[in-house]
Amino acid sequence: MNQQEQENVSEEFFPKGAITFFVIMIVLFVIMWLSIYFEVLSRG
Amino acid sequence: MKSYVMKIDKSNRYLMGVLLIIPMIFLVLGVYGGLMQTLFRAGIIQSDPFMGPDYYKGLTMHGVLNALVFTTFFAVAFGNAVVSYALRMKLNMTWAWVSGILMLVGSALATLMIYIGEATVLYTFYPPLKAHPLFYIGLTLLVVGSWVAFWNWIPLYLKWRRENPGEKTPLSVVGIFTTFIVWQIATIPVAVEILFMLLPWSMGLVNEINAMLARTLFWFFGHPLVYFWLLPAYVMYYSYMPKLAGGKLYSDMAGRLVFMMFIVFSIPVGTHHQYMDPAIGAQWKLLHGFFTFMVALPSLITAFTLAASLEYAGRKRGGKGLFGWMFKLPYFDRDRWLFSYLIAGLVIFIFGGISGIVNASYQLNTAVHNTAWVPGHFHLTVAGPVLLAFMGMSLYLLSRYLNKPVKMKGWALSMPYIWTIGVFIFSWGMMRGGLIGMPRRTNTGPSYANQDSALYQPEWISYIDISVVGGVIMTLSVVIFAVVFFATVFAKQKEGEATLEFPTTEPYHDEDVPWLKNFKPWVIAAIIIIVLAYTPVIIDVLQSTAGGSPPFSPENPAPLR
Repeated sequence: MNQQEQENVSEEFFPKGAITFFVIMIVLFVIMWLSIYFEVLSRG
Repeated sequence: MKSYVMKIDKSNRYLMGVLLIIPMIFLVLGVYGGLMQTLFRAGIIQSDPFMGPDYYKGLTMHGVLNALVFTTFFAVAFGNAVVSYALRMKLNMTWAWVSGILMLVGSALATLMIYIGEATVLYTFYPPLKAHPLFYIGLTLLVVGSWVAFWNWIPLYLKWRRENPGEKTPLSVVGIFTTFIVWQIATIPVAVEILFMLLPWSMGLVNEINAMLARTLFWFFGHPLVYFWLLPAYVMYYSYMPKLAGGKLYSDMAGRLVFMMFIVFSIPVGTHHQYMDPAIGAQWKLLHGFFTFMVALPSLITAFTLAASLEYAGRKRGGKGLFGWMFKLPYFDRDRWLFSYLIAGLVIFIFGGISGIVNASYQLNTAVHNTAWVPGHFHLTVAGPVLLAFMGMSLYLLSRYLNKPVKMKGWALSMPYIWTIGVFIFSWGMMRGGLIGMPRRTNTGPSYANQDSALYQPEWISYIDISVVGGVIMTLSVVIFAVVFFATVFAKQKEGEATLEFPTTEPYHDEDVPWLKNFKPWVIAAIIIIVLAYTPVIIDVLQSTAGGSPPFSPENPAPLR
């Protein structure tokens, strides 16, 4: 990557990857939490 | 931000050598105890004791040495380095040595008492299990030593504030002060427990102890203790990791907000460890559960901010697309070996975080309480981001303060990844087993994992075996680290004088937020919430309990007197 491209990264940076990662992580949290929730429900 | 190189004088070098090397010996001893736990629990070791401590003595050593001694020493050593470096001021070495000596004497006393079998009380030291008074005195000295270290930094900070009016305190110093503000507040209830309850009872001055009140005071301290472990790792994540990755911290404000939120919410949460205890009203447990969810917020903010910082670094290094940046980070760069310790810890912490949310959920806790799920979870936190960050930074500081090159950098780099594999396998076995009732703490070897026992539980066996595999891999990685660490200790000194330089990160967004510049309002808010959250809990405990318990030891179901 040349100097100009690196400067563009600095100027235009928007963390779209981090936002997507964060959303996926929250979905993972919800799935894992619900799996334990249904485990508790299944015990009656 | 201009880079700065701090010269290290001889007294500082010797002190830091002691503060970094001695606890590493304690850590290795504790890890040996941990390996023995998995082998005992699987019934692989039948003789009790085997090559040293028996099961419960080993479990006590594992918890006390790894979770209390190693972590406290590291936090103090790291604080000494960060405060003097970031404020560019010299520590008062007399008080720094007093602090170190108090911690050393205290740790040696506590360890000796455990080793000779006079303190088999696990790291929670719940009564009615009784330890020798010197065990409690040892722990008290360890804590007082850490207080002295903190008090030694305060005049430096105040002087820096006077000399730099209007300037933002360096983020790393905000993080270290947050760590020790939380520690200072949280160690008061456990000091009350030790000095006014456990010590007189252990010395025979009083016959009985209110076990429920002691447990409550322990968890008043015990959960903030988790943040005392985590926060130094957060300092590294915010202040150093983005630079190690080749980028900048996405938001300086996020880091400051996170630290202040920890001051407010990390203490009034302890009752979530006591959801199944009697004597405390359900409404107060629910309130502590609510605050526990609040304290998850700064960790979620951290997850996003660090991901954004790493994305920035990855894109600067040529990463394209939505996730291409993830593949451009310096995971295997020998010159940035410290990055591997931080990133591996963060990956582990994703799973430590969600399993902690399960623990903190009042109803879900019924499914996992007192099962192997719990140690499965906390090995993904204290033995994940905390341990790896502490080990990596211990090696980094050691090489700087002793002015020696890090030896076997390739092995140093590989250690956190091997550990990650091990801890995932271990915790998977423990947590899955916990969900079908496998207990924590109990030595399952002679009972539930023994085919000849009436208690035999065949459905637990595979999970116990999985945890053995994980435990062995984790131990191997610690052996690798110990070899690297002590090879560095005994390496030839480099030319020139010892100097310290931290890879301090610049912020991408450097917001100026006045309400995040001062600790005072946040500390006041914390004290108000703690009083509101804990007053009714203590009243409930005092009203619901009568009399007390005589002392017991794990060897005998009859009281000791």
